[in-house]
Amino acid sequence: MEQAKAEVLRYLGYRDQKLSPELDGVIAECMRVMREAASPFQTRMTFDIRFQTDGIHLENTEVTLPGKDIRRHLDGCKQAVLLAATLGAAADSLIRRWEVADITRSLILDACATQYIEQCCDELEEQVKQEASDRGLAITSRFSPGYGDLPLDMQPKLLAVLDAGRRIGLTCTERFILIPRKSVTALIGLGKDIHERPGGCDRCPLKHTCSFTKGERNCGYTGIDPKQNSAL
Amino acid sequence: MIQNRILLFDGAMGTMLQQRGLAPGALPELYNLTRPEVVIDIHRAYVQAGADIVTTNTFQAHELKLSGEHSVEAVVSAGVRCARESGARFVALDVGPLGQLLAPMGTVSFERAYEIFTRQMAAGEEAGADLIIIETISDLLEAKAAILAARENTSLPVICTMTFQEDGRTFVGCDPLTAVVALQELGVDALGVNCSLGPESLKAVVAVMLKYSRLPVILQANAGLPAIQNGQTVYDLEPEAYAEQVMEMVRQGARLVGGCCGTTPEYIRRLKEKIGTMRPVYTKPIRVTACTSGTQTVILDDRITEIGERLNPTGKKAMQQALRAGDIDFLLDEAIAQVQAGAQVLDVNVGLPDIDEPATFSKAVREIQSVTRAPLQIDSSDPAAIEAGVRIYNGKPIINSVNGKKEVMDSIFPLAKKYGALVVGLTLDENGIPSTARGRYEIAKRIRDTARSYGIPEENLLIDCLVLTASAQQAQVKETLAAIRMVGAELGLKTVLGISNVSFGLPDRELLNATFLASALGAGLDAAILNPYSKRCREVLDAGRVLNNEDRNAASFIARHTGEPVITAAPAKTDLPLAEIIERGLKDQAAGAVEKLLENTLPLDIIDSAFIPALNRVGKRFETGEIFLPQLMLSAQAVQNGFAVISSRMREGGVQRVTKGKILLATVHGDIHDIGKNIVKMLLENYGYEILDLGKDVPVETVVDAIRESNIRLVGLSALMTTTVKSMKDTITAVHSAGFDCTFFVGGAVLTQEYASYVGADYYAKDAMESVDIAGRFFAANA
Repeated sequence: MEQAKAEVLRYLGYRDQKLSPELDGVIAECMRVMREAASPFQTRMTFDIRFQTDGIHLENTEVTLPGKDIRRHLDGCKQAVLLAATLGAAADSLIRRWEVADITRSLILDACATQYIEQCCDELEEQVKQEASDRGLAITSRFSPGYGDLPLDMQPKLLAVLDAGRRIGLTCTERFILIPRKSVTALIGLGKDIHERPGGCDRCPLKHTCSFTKGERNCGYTGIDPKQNSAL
Repeated sequence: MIQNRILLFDGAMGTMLQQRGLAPGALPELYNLTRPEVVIDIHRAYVQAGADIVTTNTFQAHELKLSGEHSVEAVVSAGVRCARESGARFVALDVGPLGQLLAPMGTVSFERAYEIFTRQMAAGEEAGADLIIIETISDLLEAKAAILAARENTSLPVICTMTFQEDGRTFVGCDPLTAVVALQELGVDALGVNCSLGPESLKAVVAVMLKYSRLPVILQANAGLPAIQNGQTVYDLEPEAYAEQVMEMVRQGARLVGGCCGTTPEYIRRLKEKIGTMRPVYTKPIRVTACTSGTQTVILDDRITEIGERLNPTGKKAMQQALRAGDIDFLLDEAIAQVQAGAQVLDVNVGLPDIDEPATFSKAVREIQSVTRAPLQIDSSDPAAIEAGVRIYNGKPIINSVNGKKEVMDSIFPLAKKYGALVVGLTLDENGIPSTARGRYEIAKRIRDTARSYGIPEENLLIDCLVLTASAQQAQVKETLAAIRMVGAELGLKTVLGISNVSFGLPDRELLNATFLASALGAGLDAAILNPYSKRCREVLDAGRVLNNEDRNAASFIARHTGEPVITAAPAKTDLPLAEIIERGLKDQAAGAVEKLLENTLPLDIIDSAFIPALNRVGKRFETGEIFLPQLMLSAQAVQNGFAVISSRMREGGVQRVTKGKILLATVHGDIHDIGKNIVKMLLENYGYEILDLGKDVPVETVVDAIRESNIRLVGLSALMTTTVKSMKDTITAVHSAGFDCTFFVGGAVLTQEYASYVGADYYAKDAMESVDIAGRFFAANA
């Protein structure tokens, strides 16, 4: 829980300032309330992948992932897991309700939700890792539309492949915003010979737009989705 | 047909298509045009298995999914043709969810959803479908848009099913009771459940529907739970077990059955064998007086219902001002606070002579429903405003009100019927309010009879026997109580009453209100419209619920009335100086401190000598990293709370608010995340600027129009996503080409100085504090 709280604080832009006991209490309470309200759902499918000139093709689907970054990410992989996870509509409602009643609490709840969905994804990734290792395979980190040059307009196609609307209630607007808001789609590569690339801002495809680096901070580890971050 | 037979639907289409090569993620509906023989084959297999009704392969054959290549009409009519060719007895046009959520959760407006459904359904009727099945719906509002589209644009029978998860709710939180109570009023011919789970897991959901539904109930379950095997989705329930589980619910009264994901003709064949010549089991549904939101139901039988009266501008200057300024947050605040205080239903009245009431209603209803689950009571004397409110309402609302005047009943009852609302009937008519209980009873009876002639059942009526003020018509108070008794006992109708009017013009109103409430409860009152913040009324309600045998074992009463009296949210007392309160972000103490200062300081002096210097110090500490965002915000909230005291003092004194300048703020079109914008708004207001907040997902034209109408010179735009930064550019370009010389500052998660230049903004605000600097510089230079 301490680690989760540290994550929440990080999303709130915390840099070792002195916390009053009141604010500390509110954060703990928000974490608890968000966990009670949210109803996490997730789904995933594994695909053989083919490296084509126009991108990475998910076999047996009509989806091809364009761009050089996903190609680099899945380099050496034979398969990829496509996953989607969401905290559900109730998490959004809770944040919305407090936005009116107490905006600071709303911001904190928002950060708690971001931490929680990331944690759900971490757990999901851990399962994928276990299953892969049973097959003698290693995995890459998660890679989502919006990272690097993988366009956000992949979202509806990925959701359709997973039938995510029916399976987990996850949809996407015409401008490719996932609804419910606290949701993630991502790809994890599976292969025999994966060299996890070092983290750090220099390697990050988002280094120019990331809201963390704007404040000369960093997100802490690779694979975080800045779109989930609500900092200003 | 549906009355005396159990009707058998077909099973899954998608599952069958995937077995024949449809790739995951591909549009199954295109097969109607590209491989019709496959689709016809599947339909035929279901017909041969014994299905009475086949469902067209048109689940998402609508304009959001079919992009360009094939028209909705072409895909839908091919779909109907395929179903027809199978030789099916009946062809049901399949209409699934849009795949995007409606506002306020998503960005699709109710009207747009209605248009999309209408196009799909009109094409289906034109092509010869026999009925429409709206299915796999999670959001009751989306179901309503689809049902209205069907009923207003086709003459086909309509079936509607929703889909529930293991927690008994849909993905957006609708429970089966709410679904059945709301759907059965909307003029559908059957309602029920499909998808998500196997029949066994849906038993509890179906039981609730059978208990309350006056309409036939349909069940189309999945073949158990899905699992992935060798890249294929497989379901764990065999045909025989599936059929056996479904039959259990047929024996309890389900009248239409079939299958959803994972079911095949074999499942339907087994069902057909088991149904044989079995006759439907007719249920005796419970009839209750109930209203709902999209996710919650309030049943008025056997309990005392509390309806909050505060969302009404009559006699409330602050609310009038908010309505005129389009400040919806004011309403939302009041809505949330009333529900927290204990209100179960909220009355909403936005009637002012100089505003567009229908437009305000549809906006207010949508926004209030985004922050509370309590059902609403749509309160207006204007039928157009009532219709605007109830049409966009998610759930089964209450309409307040009709009365015994023929003209009023003739204009309101058709709306109540069409939109499936409860209706409050006031016991007055062309001759005014009868002075006797008998006279009011007679009007109630006439309202009931007229409602009946419009097809409105009596459980959908609430009679308001009307309170007159004890100060002016003292003798009348007892008549009201007598009328409540008569209406309840002799007509068996539910009663509702606005309590607070009784004390008008007298001192210690709370005492009179609470005493009158107790008397009314004694007379059998079912629902009270009152001020939820009234402590005395709260005590009477708590006690009344014990004496009414509603608060079982007095559990709530004991919890609330044992030990120390509960301290209510009065402004906390403080001796700290205001500046320190602000700097430490002690937001709950600010109002009290400002009250105290106002005893010997002018309001404007407080702003200049206390608020702004303290905020500046806080802002500085934020910039240097001594504090972080939540701490800055707590300070800003403290100022906001202090400001509220000053504003109300100035309003009472008739003093016009002095502002440092007016700024328009909006989260751009397509973007729906507006916490950032709201933080900027709060800080700018703290510094004395007047904010015109257009909200989120704001169309370009709305910004242009607002600039024109309100003579705006400084505009702040927010965007969260790279995909919506484009809307920022569109907005700025449109404003400039409309000839307005506005200055723009922009911010948001993905924004950078480069993006700001790209969209044509004058300033990039990296955080909320910077927008305060920008505004300061702008108005100093352009004073």
